[in-house]
Amino acid sequence: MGDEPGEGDHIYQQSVRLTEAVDAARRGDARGWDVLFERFHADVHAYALARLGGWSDAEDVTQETFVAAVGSIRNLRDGQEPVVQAWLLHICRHKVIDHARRKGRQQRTVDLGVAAAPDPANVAEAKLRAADMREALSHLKEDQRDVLVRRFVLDQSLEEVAAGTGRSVGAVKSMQHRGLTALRRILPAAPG
Amino acid sequence: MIADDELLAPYLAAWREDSLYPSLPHSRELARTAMLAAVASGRRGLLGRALWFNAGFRLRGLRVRIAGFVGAVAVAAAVAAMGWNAPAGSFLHGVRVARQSVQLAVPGADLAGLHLEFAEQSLADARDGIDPAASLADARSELDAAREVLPADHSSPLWTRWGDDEAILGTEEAAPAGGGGRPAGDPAGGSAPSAAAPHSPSDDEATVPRTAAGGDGSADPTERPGAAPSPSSSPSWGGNDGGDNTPPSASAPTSSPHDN
Repeated sequence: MGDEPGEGDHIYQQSVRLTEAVDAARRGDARGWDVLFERFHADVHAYALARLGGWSDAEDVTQETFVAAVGSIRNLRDGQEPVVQAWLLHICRHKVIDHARRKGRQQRTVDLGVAAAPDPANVAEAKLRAADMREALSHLKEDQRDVLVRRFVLDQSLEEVAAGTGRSVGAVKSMQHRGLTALRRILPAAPG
Repeated sequence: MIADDELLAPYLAAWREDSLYPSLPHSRELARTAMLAAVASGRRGLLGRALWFNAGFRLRGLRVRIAGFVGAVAVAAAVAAMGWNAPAGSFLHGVRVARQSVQLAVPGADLAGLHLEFAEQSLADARDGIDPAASLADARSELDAAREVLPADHSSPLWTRWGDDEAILGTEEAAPAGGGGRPAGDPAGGSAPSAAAPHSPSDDEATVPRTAAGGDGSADPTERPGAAPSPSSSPSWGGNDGGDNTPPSASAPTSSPHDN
């Protein structure tokens, strides 16, 4: 809650709107689903892209996530934003795992087909680093990867990650620590 | 702090920046369309499942009824088959009695012939050692019933058949008793052996049962095998005829093989 009443009202209205959207989605109302899509598409897409790296793969997984969500809306506990986000990311996580399993261990690809940047050389270097990071992440445990994506891509707090993954804050902190330690050990050896 | 980590910070930053790049509008709309299509198909699926449940429930109910009907028919057929000729004293004898009742109830049925047939079946059961007492009682009942419906014409082969069956019954009834007596008025006469003897149709010309052999001439042809009908007796019942087939009083048996 912010100090200004207007900001609080806005957050409250957003919360009510989201709760109503979830209720509408439960009833099969397309407008409710549209609200959920607008609100969480970016998070789901970022999670998928952070895990998979390939644009087309991320788009596919994002689409699969929202389609699967339609069928599992009954599993959603309530319409609070963190709960809905955690629910969608939970689905997305499983879709990522399924996607990776289907494709198997593919050759590492660096997708440079993203929108043009001011300095193509910098873009390429950033892309290669991101690819190295994803390659290093593939050596971590699934739970550690999940925590690192939420923490460093989605900018979730320890508490939010704990709530979203159903773990204690201490457990999340421990997973993050072990994941980062493993990355430090792996990344120097990674090419590029 | 991760930001101070010289090794990890650039990787994490590059990773984050690369991952947060927004989706292409076209892909985004494709995802939205797919989701809304799933919502629409989910509604149809829900309706479809509901209809299918109802239809399935009805079909299951119909199937249960059909299965029950078929099962009942199968059980009834099995019981009828097993009890068709169930001998007296057996668990399914009632089926045989019911079957015989139906046969007798058929309009135009040859009642005398049927009763004789049933009596002969019971006699055959008794001879086979199947609950002889009950089988003989059945035979007795059938022969009595047959006598009630035998034709007035005593030249009918049915009379001969009835006499033969009576003779056999008398023999069978007397056998377990070791020559014991018959009930009063229903003596097991010495004519039984001759009743079982083969005979030609010409023997029946005078409607005199073969049991008449050795009789004293006072017996009635409808008398039990133990009776001794007169060879010269008329096919009619004489003074006691009256057309009702009621036999005159039986004469005392002259002899019985079992008495020997």
